[in-house]
Amino acid sequence: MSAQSFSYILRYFDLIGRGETCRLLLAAGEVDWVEEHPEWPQDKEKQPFGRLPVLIEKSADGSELVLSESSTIERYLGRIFGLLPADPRASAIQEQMCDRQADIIAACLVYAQVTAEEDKKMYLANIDDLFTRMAKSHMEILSANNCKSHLFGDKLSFADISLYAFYKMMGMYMGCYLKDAVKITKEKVTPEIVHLLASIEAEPLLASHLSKCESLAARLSQ
Amino acid sequence: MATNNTPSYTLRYFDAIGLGESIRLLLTAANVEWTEEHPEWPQEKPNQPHGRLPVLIEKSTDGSPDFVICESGNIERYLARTYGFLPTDLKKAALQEQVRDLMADVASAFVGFLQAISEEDKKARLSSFDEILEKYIAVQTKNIKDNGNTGRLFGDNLSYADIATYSFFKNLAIGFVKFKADITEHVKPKLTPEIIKLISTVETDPKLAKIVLKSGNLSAVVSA
Repeated sequence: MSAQSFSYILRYFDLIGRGETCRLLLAAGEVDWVEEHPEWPQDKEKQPFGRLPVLIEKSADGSELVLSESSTIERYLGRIFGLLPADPRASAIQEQMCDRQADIIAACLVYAQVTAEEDKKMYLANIDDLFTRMAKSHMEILSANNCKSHLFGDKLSFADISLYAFYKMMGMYMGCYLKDAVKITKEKVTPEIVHLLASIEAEPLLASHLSKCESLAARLSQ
Repeated sequence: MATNNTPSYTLRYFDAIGLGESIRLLLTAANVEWTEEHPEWPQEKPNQPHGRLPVLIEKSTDGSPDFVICESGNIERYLARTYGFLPTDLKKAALQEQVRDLMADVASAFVGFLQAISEEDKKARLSSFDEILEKYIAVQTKNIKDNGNTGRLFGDNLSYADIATYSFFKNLAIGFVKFKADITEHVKPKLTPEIIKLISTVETDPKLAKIVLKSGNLSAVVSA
């Protein structure tokens, strides 16, 4: 597929949230892309599902594909850029990791709305359990891979990008929803995961985006 | 027709509609050998790869190790891709996947409502749930109309999107009654003729005949 014949618009808020993975994927795809920050809630009804993010893929012939839902957008970009494997089984392993990460983030957002102390304790215990299992799974995948700078194979993959955005969200931005998010994240990361994050950060394809941001690996090493 | 080369499957889930129904319908439509296990819960939690259900186990006939995956959407997409219920065209597949993802957001909004404690909170969250549900129904109704009003969301054959949408409304009108007794009456007035036609089209599809009514007759419930 000729990447040059398509250009992309990512519509999202000016924050990490559910947009970061999309940004990193678009950077890795080496395509023409821009970001729009709609007025909110004024532009809500202009969106197909009344929600963000939205991805618009414009073809050279003028036709457009408009997609909603962050996970669908992420998988679509992953597939067209060859970052998700074509083999359904191999793809399912990467997608499963990404879905589990999304569940943890969703659980943190739910936690933020809970008021009763007992309930908060229970939700936090659940998040902690999910995060512990997730980090263990990351380590298992990494240990099984010969190359320690990537989760699968020796090239940047969908899973690498998804993992990076997950630890970035938990380690740098979740604090406003979950007070101890940074502390919890530092407890879960291992030196191997930090090395992996540093490697992903150093990827030339992601430099166009990450050079503007604080180093996640450095932050989690403090 | 299951042959020696076709894998067989085990679905591990609760004995409920929930996040298992789409998987059951996909396995049935794929016409593969499959069984279901209902693990003791929470006793069996530590024995699951990621401590949660559903889990899908694919057993090969060539002696290779079982392929085990979790996360309901992931399982659904894997089966849908493998057995031809998602198009190979990536754009068309994405248009189906996005409606499934939106459904999950509607379900989350419902769960959010159930968690509300104060009356004020309950009202606000029910209102949020209604808003996203109505948006979802409008999107789907348009898809059905744009597809020629045949009771299908995309194309001419039973699709992943059709199955996922059917399962979603089954949860809303039947499965969720145990959480909110009047949910059926709350949701029914919002259903459009196009949605009701989709429900009936899926429920009468010969590929699903073996099991589709086991968890209830959704057409009857929404038409009553």
